[in-house]
Amino acid sequence: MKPQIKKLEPYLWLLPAFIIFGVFTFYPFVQTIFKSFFMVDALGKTKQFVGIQNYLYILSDAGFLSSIKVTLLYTIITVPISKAIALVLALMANKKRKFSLLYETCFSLPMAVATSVAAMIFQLMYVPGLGLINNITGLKIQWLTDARVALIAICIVQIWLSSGYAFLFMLAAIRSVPVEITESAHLDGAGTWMQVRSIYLPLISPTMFYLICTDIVWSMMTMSLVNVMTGGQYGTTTILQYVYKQLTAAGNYTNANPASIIAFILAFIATMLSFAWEKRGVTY
Amino acid sequence: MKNKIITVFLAIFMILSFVACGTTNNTANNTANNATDNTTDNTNDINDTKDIENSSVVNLTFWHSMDGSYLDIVNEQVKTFNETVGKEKGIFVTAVFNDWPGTESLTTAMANDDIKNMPDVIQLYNESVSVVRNYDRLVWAEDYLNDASSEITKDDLLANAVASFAIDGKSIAVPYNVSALLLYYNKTILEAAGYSAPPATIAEMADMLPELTEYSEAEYGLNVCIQQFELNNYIATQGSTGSYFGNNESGHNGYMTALACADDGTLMNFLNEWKKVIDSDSYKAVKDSYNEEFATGINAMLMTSSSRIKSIEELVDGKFEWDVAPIPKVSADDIGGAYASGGGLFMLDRDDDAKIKASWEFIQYMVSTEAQMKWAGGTGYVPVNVNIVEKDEYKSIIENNSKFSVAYEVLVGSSINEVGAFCPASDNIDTIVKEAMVAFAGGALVDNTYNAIVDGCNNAMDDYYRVNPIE
Amino acid sequence: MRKTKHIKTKHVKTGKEVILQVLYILIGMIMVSPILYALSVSFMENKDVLTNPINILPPSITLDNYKTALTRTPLLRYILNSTIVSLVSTISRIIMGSMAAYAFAFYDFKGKKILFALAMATMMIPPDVLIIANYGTITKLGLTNTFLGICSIFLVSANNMFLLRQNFLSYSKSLKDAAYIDGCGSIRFFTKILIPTSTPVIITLFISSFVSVWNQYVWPMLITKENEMRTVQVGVAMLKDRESSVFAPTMAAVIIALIPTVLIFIVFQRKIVAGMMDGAVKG
Repeated sequence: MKPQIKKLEPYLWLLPAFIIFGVFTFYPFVQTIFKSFFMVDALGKTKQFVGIQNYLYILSDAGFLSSIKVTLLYTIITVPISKAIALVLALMANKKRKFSLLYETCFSLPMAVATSVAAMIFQLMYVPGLGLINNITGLKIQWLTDARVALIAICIVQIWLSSGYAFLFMLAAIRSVPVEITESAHLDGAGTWMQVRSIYLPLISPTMFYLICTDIVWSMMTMSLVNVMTGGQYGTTTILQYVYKQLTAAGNYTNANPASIIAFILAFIATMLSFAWEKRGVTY
Repeated sequence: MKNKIITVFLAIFMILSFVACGTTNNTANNTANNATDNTTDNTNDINDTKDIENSSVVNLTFWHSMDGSYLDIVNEQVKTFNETVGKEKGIFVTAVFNDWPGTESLTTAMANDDIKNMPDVIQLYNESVSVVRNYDRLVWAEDYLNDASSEITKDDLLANAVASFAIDGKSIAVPYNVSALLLYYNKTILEAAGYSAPPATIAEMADMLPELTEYSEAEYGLNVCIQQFELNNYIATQGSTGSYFGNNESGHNGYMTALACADDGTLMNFLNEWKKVIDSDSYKAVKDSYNEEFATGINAMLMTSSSRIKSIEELVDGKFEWDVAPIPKVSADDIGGAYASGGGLFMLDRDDDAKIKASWEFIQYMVSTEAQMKWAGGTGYVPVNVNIVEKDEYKSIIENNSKFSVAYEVLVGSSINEVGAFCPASDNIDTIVKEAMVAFAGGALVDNTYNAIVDGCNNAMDDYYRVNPIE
Repeated sequence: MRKTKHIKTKHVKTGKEVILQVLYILIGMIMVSPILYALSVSFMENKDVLTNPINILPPSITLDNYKTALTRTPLLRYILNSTIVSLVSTISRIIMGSMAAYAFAFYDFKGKKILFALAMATMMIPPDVLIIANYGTITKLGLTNTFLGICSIFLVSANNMFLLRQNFLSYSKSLKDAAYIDGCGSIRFFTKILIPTSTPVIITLFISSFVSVWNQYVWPMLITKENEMRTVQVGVAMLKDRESSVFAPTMAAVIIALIPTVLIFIVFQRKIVAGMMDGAVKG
């Protein structure tokens, strides 16, 4: 192979992917950053340069600040709980039994459900008065219209969806823990909890890390679930929902652009934090 | 082997993307529709008539946001047009659904001046008028309505429906699916509590509510979530000739930049009266499945758009007697009534005069007595064409179900000052009103609610005009 | 003596096993209960959905909802569209993703770290935010309302690429050198050796990508202007009455939209778990 081509070769392999990244991710992203420093009207036309004024404006907007709070709350609630549930389910399903396929599929099925579909099904179940949940339990909670529980109601749906996804990965990870290790630990008299803590957790930590890291990013960017179920009302507006509303309902690009950049920055920080934890918590 | 499969797939998708590029694909559509019921299989039939088209046919795109059973009716109206007037004049209309409020795709096309992906006719609601009112591609209906040779003129349409879509006296659009806010009440329950007629004022209603729950199995006497729509009605119906929600005639004579109802006391009047309803302890302030709850007797009364009459009829299924009435007034000497809310048909200029002419033909059909009759029978939408009262078919519809005429009477009797508001950032304003009113029902004070609404709305409008200054 | 003790413990063990399995199946049923409920509602008449007391099973089974779902909108056509879009996007993701992962795993070159970081960064940029800007780009390319237009933003996924790269890293580098000595160029190595042996991971990615693209709503809604080009999630939204009081037909559409993904999922479930083991666990 000619030496020049050989040198170029890896770049050629990367080219198709990076063209798409460039056109559909980097270019619009840079555009958004650029525009966030301008006044942009309802039709998207850039008007005058205002520097960081837009950022200061939305950071003083109570609605935006509360959306940051809501997003963080949402992330803190959904990520750990869904991983914990998935872990428990995976530990339960570890051993292959006769009906394994049945309940394994059931545990992971939420993964196949689209967020908008899940939102619609749960909306039906959450109907107060005549809906399934209130009817069966006899509760009178206004799931989606009471500011005290609306966010929790949405978190439940998210946990349901995430657990399915996480379960699958964790099951694979747990099953790949060499059986000899657990058997010898069992013979040494180690109880189940001890085994989980000192064997399973460390050995599946790479997978756990991938799951937690990606889930944190996805949670911070969450929008479709909130949009379909409550439209962001009753204290459920997340950052991306705020951006979406600014874009579509208020036609306000001027607010939406800096808000998206801030969302990115927050997600970036969160990712960096989890990578920092990786050094301590993850064993390869 | 894998490579071969991949190449085949790529080839298929490229062919498909070229084929599917642009307009409708007849064969795929026909094979995909396995409907057994032919009368409701509209899309199939629309494409059959398309096969006959010749090259001089003007193709129009019509965007709407009617879903559920209303979708069926729109499709029927479009289909009938294509088979009658359309065939005669060489026009073919394709109806496309866009999720409510139907403006997302429009605004993106507007921002990119993407004519190819704009509709010729679009159905928009009051709330979205701010988006298009200054758009230079918008073709105002005023000249067409005033043209002597037009089949439809302003005289043919409900006065206050026309006013709802007029700015500075000129019609920006033609009202198409119009409804009125009404009070739905469970006659059986009212009679059990000793009332033979629905309440005429809010104060009367507030007195009624606790008795309704006492003498029946209902949980609440009244269910309604006051949002911008309901609040606008309650402001608009005050005074002897009606009153405006926002300044500059709610945006109909200039731009709406502040809440007029704050300055003239109408908002405070309403809140003070509504407090009585809240204090009755028999009022449900949120919207859940309000149709079902009324239909199963959980709520004795309901306030919602007349468009729901048919659906509620089906849900009640004769279990009890019920009727509709105009909403109770704030004070006994108010004009009352309601404003004509709903959607209008807007025309866009896509650099093709033939299409604009054809669009007007289409719009005239959609507001004709024939097309509007389908609203009258199948829903509670009020037919906008006043000539419909002379038609036998309409007369028999009313005879069979007097409820349908109540909304019509309400709108005919309302003044042209009672109009919807062209709020900028209407979605924000709606949320602000809703949250304030729900908090009000939860125990907030009148003054705090008042401030929440006024400050919230004014801020939302300021925010909007900050980036979209009025030139 | 010993024998009976042995049998006794075996008995206890199988007894425990049975109880556990029953328990797990019950928990499984709870996990999928929303889907089962949707299925039940889809066969109910609309007036039976929200009643007092609640109907968990349909008091009278009706197929009307499915009829409505299939006639009111060209749902079957939408399923076809979704299938095409998901298939094309998934195949593209796998091809482009593995090509890029190949470069990152088997080559050393200038800027490798930066390019990899850039690729990873795309995972953090919320696509919903870029939608408006991307709409502008697609319009300029004249691709609105085309399959290619819908697929465009889904053609590559950094997530997939990452997983593939992890998987490729587990191959010994000397394998490639050995192949080279044997006269196998890098392209042939890629197609004849690397890809075929990574089948488990690729199948896993195929399924998860397919499901992920199938479930997209916002972008397809925005980029398609004609009913015939819409995808299944958009179709489901069309059936939902804005005031949310017609749940039964909506649930029918929801079930129709769920069937393909759930079926694929169930069929390939075994393979997915196997695939995960190879790819995700390796750090």
